[in-house]
Amino acid sequence: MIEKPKEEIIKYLKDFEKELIPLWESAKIPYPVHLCGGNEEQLIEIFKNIKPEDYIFSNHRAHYHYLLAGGDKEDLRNIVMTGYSMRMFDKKINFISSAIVSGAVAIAVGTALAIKRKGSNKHVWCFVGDGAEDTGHFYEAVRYVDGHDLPCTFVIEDNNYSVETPKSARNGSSDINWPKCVIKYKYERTYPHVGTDAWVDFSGLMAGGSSF
Amino acid sequence: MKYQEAIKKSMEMIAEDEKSVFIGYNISYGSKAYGTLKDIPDSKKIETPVTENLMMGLAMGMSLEGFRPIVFFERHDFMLIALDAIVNHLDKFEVMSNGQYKLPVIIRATVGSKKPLDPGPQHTQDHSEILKNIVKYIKVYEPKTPKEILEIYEKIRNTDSPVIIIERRDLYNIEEN
Repeated sequence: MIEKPKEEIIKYLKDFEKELIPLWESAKIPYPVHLCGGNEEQLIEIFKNIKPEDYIFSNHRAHYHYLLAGGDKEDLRNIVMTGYSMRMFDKKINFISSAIVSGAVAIAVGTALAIKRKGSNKHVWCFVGDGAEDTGHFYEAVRYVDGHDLPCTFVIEDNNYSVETPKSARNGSSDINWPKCVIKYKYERTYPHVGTDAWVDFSGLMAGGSSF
Repeated sequence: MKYQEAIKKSMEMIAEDEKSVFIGYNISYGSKAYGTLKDIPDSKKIETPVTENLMMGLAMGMSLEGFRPIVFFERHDFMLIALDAIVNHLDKFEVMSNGQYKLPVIIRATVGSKKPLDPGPQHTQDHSEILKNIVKYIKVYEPKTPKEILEIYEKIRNTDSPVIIIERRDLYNIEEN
């Protein structure tokens, strides 16, 4: 967690994303980028509980998690500009992510199980959207953590959208009461699923393509 | 030594490593991995629910903290549920993280048998060719004899990278001196 007054941290987070916008809108970033926004205060509160040695499991929208976990701003800019925004890893701060919906949750459980077996006092924090909350993989991971009392907290970041589909269309009025290893906060998103609201012409651009 | 005995012996060799851990269902209970894990102490085994994606997540997550997990799938049919974990995560983490994270996970992928009882098309599929082609970085081995079983496990017991070992129930009773 960055040791600064809350207002300064909020500005630091927002400024990072704002600096990416002209690059995105002028087609300088030939990769999908999922911008954060609207959840600064909630995340700052959550990260007050996260210790430097803890594990962070994130997702496709990972920039704020990375910065709040103590990740370097210039490293993050390099990560985004080289196409790694959706697959961010930094062993220095125990940071892992997956761009598959609910892809990281089971891995987070395994790390928490290992931590408990070793008697370590690290904690695992796994951030998911409300789209991941829909999945069976999330259900089986939460149930295992709850039943075996593992040092893992799932944080549902509920912006009401799975890509661009609202909850009402996905599961109607259903709402689940999760056990105590799950915390949830709601927020109004600042940006759409990918990029910004601007129309960007990527047609003249030849992305290098990854070797994967 | 029979093929099944070679697997059992290999599992007991792997169990000597204090970092090794066995993950799956029907490993402490039921068939105990078709008898191959019956003499492994329960403290080395994590009996899971029938949640194949979670089983793989447990293995990958534990390997991040220095454990050396070996996951048992009793049939290829059931392993299909775990393909997201295997293909999108286990196979790609080392490369996606530029070598920061290595996942030394061993997967036992067993092909079911039609003998003596034929459990039908959802319990006896052989997806070996698909498994070999769907992963890009994981090494896939197909030991056909007891000798090959022993050689492969000796070779991969200290692996830094993930490995899939395909075993066939139809071979369990073949014998070799």
